[in-house]
Amino acid sequence: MIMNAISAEADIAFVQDLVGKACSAGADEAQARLSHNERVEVDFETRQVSMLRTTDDDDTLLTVFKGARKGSAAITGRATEGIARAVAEALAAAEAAPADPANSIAITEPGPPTVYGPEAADRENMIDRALEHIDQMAREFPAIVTRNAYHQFNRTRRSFANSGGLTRQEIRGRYSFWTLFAGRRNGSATSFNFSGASSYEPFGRLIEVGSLRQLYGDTVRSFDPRPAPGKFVGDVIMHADALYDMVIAPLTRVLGGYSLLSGTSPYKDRIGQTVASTGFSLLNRPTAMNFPEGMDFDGFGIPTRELDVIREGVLREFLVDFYISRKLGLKQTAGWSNFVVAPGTKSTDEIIRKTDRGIFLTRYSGGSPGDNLDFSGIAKNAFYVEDGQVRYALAETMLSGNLRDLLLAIRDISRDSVNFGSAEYPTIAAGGVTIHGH
Amino acid sequence: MLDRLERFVAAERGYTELRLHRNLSRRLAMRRGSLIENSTTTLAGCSARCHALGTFGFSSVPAEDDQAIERVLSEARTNADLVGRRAGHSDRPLPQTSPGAGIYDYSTVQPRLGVEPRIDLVKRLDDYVRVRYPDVINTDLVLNELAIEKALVTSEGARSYCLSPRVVLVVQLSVQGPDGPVQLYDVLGSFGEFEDQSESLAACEARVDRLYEDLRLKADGVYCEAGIHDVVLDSNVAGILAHEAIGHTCEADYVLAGSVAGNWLGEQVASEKITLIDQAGRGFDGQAGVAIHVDDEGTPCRDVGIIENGVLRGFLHNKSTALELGVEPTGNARAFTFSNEPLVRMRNTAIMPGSDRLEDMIGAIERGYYLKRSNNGQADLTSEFMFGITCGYEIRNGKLGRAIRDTTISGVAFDVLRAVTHVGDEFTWSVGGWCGKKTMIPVSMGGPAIKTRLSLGGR
Repeated sequence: MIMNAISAEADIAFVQDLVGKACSAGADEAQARLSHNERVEVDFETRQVSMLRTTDDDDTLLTVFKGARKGSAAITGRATEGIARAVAEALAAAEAAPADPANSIAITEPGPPTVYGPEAADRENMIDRALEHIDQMAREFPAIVTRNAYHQFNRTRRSFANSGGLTRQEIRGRYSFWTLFAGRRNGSATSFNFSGASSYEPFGRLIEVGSLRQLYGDTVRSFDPRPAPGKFVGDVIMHADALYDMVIAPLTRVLGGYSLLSGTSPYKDRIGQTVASTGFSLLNRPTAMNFPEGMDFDGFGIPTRELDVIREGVLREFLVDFYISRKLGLKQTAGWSNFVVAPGTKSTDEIIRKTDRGIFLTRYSGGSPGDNLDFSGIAKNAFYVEDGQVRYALAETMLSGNLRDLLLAIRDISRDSVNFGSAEYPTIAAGGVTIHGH
Repeated sequence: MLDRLERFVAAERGYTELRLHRNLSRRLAMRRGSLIENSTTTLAGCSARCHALGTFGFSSVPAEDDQAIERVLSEARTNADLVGRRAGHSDRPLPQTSPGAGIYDYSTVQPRLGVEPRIDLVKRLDDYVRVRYPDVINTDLVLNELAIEKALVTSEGARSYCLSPRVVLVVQLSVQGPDGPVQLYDVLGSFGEFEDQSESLAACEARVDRLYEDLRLKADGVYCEAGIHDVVLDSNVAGILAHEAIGHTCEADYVLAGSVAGNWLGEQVASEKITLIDQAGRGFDGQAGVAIHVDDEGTPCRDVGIIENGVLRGFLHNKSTALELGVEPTGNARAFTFSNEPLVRMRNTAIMPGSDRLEDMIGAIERGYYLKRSNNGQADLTSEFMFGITCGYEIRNGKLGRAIRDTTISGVAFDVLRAVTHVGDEFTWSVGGWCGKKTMIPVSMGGPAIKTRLSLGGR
């Protein structure tokens, strides 16, 4: 079946039909969610455009419930035999599963279909932007080597139906750009770095996407790095590009419902308590108009909503989806996440000037912390800061500490943020981190 | 199937790959006794890639019928022509090897089992831990099955079919430590389908017992002394070193991006005890975790000796990087799903075994660490690497001492390999690995234990 012949209306009819087939085959309840994505991608490297790639994806996840038992099957495409197999496999999985009273479809109000962003890619413009980037980099950053750069347009139709009569649909068309790069000069190389962002609007110059211009400049300043001087306890100034790996990913994992289910979250009894400096607010904003990677409804068809997870340092909410809310008797708060860290008042330059001794970090390469949130890792694409000035690029320098302590030791947050299209983060400075140059 | 694909490719002009590709997977996840995932996934479709005017055009759709094949071939050619014309490249032909061919079907010959024995396995293990170890506050059990099935025909005459399956069972336990919960996990399973290993998986209590023993000691463990230390890396940590810290720096696309390894071909970069090979097929002992005989560009796969007796000998190539560097492709072009284009990827990457005994390595260290299990790792073009260490022990006066808490090891990989003094005689493959580079892809990595010197994080 040719996918581009399928319409948004046909998507809804398809998921409704699939739910109906599952119930006719013996399911008590069922839900189906479909993601149909059309992608155009221009791939390029330092000197040349290497590929134009167009893909259609059509992914459906059917979940059936039978006697409070759950089973799921995912398929691509809409071939008759694939649909029959999905129904049979999901039912067989459910029939073999243990019963769990938390298993159910969600009963909620249907919402109107929503449409965001352009309908189709401007392919010529995408190729132009890639060629322009190659040319501009050669002039402005000749020491930068680009590898695996891709400029994409994705138009995604997400459709949902369940046996309670709920249907939902949203359509998002958006551009994105992502690139991996490093500096190379006279036989020596810098650490690689990578970044990108997405936007409803076609990009202008790709060099201005997200924080790329700054990262390119930092890379050029990173030849001949050396370790931090010895071992000391100092400040770490985390650029927006480093914040997700170092703070947001481990923090939101232990604030999530599945961490509460395990009983191992260090924050499980901390609602209403101070868990971070008063300047730190972590907000979930899946419906924000400036997030092309946002979502209007979650995997159970429930409308997403704004949620202040941490407000001025106080833990307000856990990230609880529909299943965990029934399992643990908690209120349902979040089935999809697009995080914002609220900006502060200072410029990044002011934050650096206030730093006695520490590092400025644009990438963190660390082990995945356990639930006690001890962390250790390497400072990548980082600079040594002393007496309020950036001194030199760092190599072979490790950071270690505990994330709970780090959150309480946040001293400054920048007023400028980077919008990645899926999240928005400022630069954050915190003290008390052990920094060790080899 | 291959004859059908060949008929379509025969009508094409210019370089063309046509691939039918299915990823069949099943995932069960149990957390604290609740089955939170119970699903199967079929990712299936076709893709084509054409080369013209120095660029590629690619197209894929989630269907496998004749109409779908005609569409991806047409779009891939149109894409290549469009971007090639706009980019204005010269039309350098891709390097050609003898075409890869063969049928490599590793599907099980055992009777098929339903979902019940799989769920029973997970439930039984969960019950075992709960009854035997009441101080365990959380048990995570994840059973992941994946079979990748590909049929490929190219305009250069390649014709290949492969079905490569693997099963991975992750067991993670948590206990309460003096300062909060402490976790540790182990990865079981191997190449093959569930039916091939259901008995060995069912008899895994001894592995769970050892995992619990390590976890209990870790919960009361100490933080490492930050700094550079003599260490023994257990075989699965050495395998990650082979893949992450050395293998990535020797992928030719990263060499072209400035990897430090690009400067050192033919030079001594490691102890002469070190031989490191990215292996085709099922690896040197037939036990590796990835079966790959023909890559996704139709190149016959061959072993790549990256380091031979300490000397850097070769890089991993697809056709594009081979063209740029003027060498033969090595069969390292791999795509994870039907909608992915082939990229330079590792396959079964391992440090080859030596002749030293683990006890002798530990006995040779006065003050250092034995690092037993790792969770994740990253490396850089400079070969600076980082791995998380989740299980290890102090070595004091040649004997194992107290357990250590989670830490991170780092160093410059080639310096670490130069400092190797011992290479163990016992080799193991880790078959549960994933590698991320634009897309994820299954890999396997292996090695013996090695003794070297590197940096540990600590408080």
